[in-house]
Amino acid sequence: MGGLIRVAIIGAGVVGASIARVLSMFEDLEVHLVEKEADVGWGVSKANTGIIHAGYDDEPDLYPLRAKLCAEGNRIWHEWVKDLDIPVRWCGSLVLAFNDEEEKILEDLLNRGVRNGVSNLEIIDHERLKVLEPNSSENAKAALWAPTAGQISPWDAVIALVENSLTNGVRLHLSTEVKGIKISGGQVCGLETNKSFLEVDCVINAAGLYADKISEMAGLGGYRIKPRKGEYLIFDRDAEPKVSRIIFPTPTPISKGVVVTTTTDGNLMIGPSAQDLPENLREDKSNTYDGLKLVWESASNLVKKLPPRNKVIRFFAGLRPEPSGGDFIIRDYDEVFGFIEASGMRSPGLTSAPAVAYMILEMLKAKFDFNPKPKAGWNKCRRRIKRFSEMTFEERSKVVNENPGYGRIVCVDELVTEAEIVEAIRKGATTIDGVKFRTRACMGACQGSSCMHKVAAILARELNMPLWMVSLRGSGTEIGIGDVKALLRDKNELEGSRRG
Amino acid sequence: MEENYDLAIIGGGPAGLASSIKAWDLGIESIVLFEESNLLGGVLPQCIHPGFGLHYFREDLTGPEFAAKLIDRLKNTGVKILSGSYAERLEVRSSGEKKILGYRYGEAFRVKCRAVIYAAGCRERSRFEVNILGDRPAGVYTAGEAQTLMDIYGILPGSEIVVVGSGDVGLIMARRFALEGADVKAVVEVMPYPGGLTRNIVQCLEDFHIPLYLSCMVTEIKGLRRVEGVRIVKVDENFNPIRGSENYLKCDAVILAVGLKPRVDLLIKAGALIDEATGGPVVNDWLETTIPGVFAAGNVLVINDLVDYAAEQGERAAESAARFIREGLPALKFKRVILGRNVRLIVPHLVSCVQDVIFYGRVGKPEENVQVRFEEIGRAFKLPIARPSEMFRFKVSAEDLMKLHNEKMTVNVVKV
Amino acid sequence: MALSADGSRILEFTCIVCPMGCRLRAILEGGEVRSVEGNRCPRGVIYAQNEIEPKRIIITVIKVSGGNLPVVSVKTSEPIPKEMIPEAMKTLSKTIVQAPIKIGQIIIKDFLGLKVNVVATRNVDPAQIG
Repeated sequence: MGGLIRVAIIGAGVVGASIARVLSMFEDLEVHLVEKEADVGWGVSKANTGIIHAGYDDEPDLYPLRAKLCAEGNRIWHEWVKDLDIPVRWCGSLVLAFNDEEEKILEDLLNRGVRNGVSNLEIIDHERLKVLEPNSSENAKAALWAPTAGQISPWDAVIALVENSLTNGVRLHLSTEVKGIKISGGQVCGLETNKSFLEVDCVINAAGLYADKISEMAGLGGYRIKPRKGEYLIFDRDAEPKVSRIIFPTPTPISKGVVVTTTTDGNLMIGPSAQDLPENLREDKSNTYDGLKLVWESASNLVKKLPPRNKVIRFFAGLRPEPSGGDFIIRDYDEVFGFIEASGMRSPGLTSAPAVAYMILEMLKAKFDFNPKPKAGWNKCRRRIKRFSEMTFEERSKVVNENPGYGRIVCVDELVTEAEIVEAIRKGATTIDGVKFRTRACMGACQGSSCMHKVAAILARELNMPLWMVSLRGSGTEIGIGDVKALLRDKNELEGSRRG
Repeated sequence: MEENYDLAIIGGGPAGLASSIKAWDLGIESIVLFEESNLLGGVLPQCIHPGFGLHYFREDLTGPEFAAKLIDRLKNTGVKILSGSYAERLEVRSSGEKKILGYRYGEAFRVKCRAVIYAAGCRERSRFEVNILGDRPAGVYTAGEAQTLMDIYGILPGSEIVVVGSGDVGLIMARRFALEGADVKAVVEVMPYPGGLTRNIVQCLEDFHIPLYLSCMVTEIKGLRRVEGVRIVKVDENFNPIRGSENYLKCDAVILAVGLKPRVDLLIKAGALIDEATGGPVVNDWLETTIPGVFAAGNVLVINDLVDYAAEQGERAAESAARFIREGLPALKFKRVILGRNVRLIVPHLVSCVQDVIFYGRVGKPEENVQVRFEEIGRAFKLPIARPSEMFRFKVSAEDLMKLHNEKMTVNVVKV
Repeated sequence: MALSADGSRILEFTCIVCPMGCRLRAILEGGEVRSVEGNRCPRGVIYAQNEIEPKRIIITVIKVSGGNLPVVSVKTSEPIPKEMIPEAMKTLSKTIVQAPIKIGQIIIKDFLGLKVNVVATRNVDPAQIG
């Protein structure tokens, strides 16, 4: 087969965006990234622990894809974060063992890690643990030390991947929901969406929580995705004590457990819980008393001390897409030519994403019997918005002189300036959350009560829209229902029409 | 810009404005005022209801009118007013010289000064700080935020409202929404008594037939994209939920009036000691923080009920700063003020005993027919109705304070 | 409302003139206030008289055109009868005032024929061009 191959990737989460980036490296591929939300990465990708796992967790005999792609993804991320300017802390992770059985499990993890190709794994004793992590629990007897693990900002990763993809010719379709997949003669020919029909030759299903529904649209659907909720708590940046490494408990067969970590922005974060939800509750990201209590208690066991409860500035929850069978679903089909799955991306989905992308590329090449040429001028680099808060006073003086909008502080807690917010909007943010995830505005202790309206005013100005229509995260989340007289005026009109 | 001033004032709300005017009137000529917003007045321009200035101006003014009086007065002084200017950091050298680093449109500034009055006000607490669980949809606002949206930007945040917190801010916002045609379902208050003034219960709730649910807590917000409703539950004396008393209120906006916190980040980074009870800096009776020559006034010092108190504290800070600049403040032994029975907080924390002091404080639990007693000096003030939400303010004379021979002075609230 | 022995009516309510919130007892005869108890200042007496026909100052914002802010805060110069509030708000929802606006400026004279003005309480400068 020669000529142009048109590819649609459903879902602009970390997996879809990674695939887009990899495919964008080649000629003869027209890549469309299709996302139902108003911005990228708003599904599973924005609400998880953000860990680049070392790769010892997944048993290769049970979950061969997870085992292979996690360690591979970890290695690729070490390069990608540099090219894409993604904030990351290569701090390593520690799995704590509190008794003999758990120490035995650490041995199993170590062996498994070696088998999966993870380097520099070590089981360390209590003394060495105290040095690596001063805030680790006094009761921990030993730990598995994995220096290759890292803490990433997952939404920063998705935004970076998408920006780089766009630079390299990928087309992004936001607020575009796939309603059907057109198949003709056993071959994919396009996507029916809420907007227009998108004619493509290949569909890659990276639809996260809804991947099984997409698969059903193609007449396939041989698996189910079940949502598993994980709740988190985030502390104020000045809350102490934090941790310097990612701290895990000894895992159970079901879950890696509640983690204690410090985010790339310096906030201590604890979570997730693991609550299986009924299949139809794929939007339930509510925080619960039991969920948060479990997180708090479990986290307390891992460290000497957590900061006081009143230092929590936010709690949230995310959903993991648990596939039937437990392993990633990365495959194509004979019965529907051109439909490729990249689904069931539960943990270690984030870590594996780059490796998944390369695997999908190979699958595509094999299926379409095609060896695409590398794209001339493909740009591997992307730079993020320069953060005023991370600059010295001298650096700040310089940028303010060059771009006066850097002198207008919009979010005081996170020291985010108007210039950064305008840049975020120029880079595609159309909502408050879009600005938030690109700049950190509204992420401080006030959680937007002082600054959200300022961000909204800038969005309204830059996008030339009425202020009340600015939304938190797309249609149905507008900050107002109209101007301040909207209800009184409607009553007027109602009454006027009644009088005739 | 690198400039030198005698006095820098951070915050252009009522406390900052009043202190600028006072410092000028006292003859300090080199004064700069930093205000982060383009508008002066702090939170006043959006407080469009009356009740401001009954003491300070002996008039019943709306918030913007109160602010305008101060701003007009200030514009007739030689105070350098820098609006749209954010003071980010205060550096204090061992010599006592202060440097303020900040930013405004087109420039980063470093300003040197001899004294600082910090009047940066406060922020509102979020739903996360009061543990309201459930979903995190659009339509959840703090009261001040809703007030800004309505009365500065002219947009309506919702049409079916639940207000959490019956302090004056919550009551006033309930009325605002009702006036603009919204359906205010309820004001929900966790205490067994309302937090705001009785006159506001009448004018804000009774006038509009808005139910007040006492001893009730909002436990959860429900809503996929926008707020759809809240779960409320009745609580007992220990604030434990009473099983079976759950209720659901349909609404599209939740307005939170659940407390204010002084904005003390700059002071903390500069090394000032903070009082856990007030959330503001520890100060002596010059309203000087633990950093010599750095004074505090207004809501950053202590959350005030009346703007008149914020302005008064601003003036006091200005007097102290002026003296500090001219001759320095006398090196005195300060005595500690101790929180006794039913006193939740009191300011100032340290007294020199050479001057009159105005004390601002709050009781912990409501009581009637009590006295606020300054024990070691035998001075007591009658307080017919003591409520945590109503600050008490008493002036103790120098003469009385000079009677203090101990290291500390205990303040008790006792029944008569 | 209660009846006392001599047939006069007693009305109890809370005064809202100032933050004290005195609990008042007004004794009425033939619909007129004969005496007031419980007030700590003379304004309470006036308030009691007004409570027979309750009045309120209206506080709201109205739309501005050509200003640096989209709305201006206003108040009525005197209280108006409480039951006129809905009509007052409806009328004000249709009002648009042109910037610049000065504090104290009369936006509407003799509002609703009640011999009361609607007065601006905030300054609004003209919008900056460019």
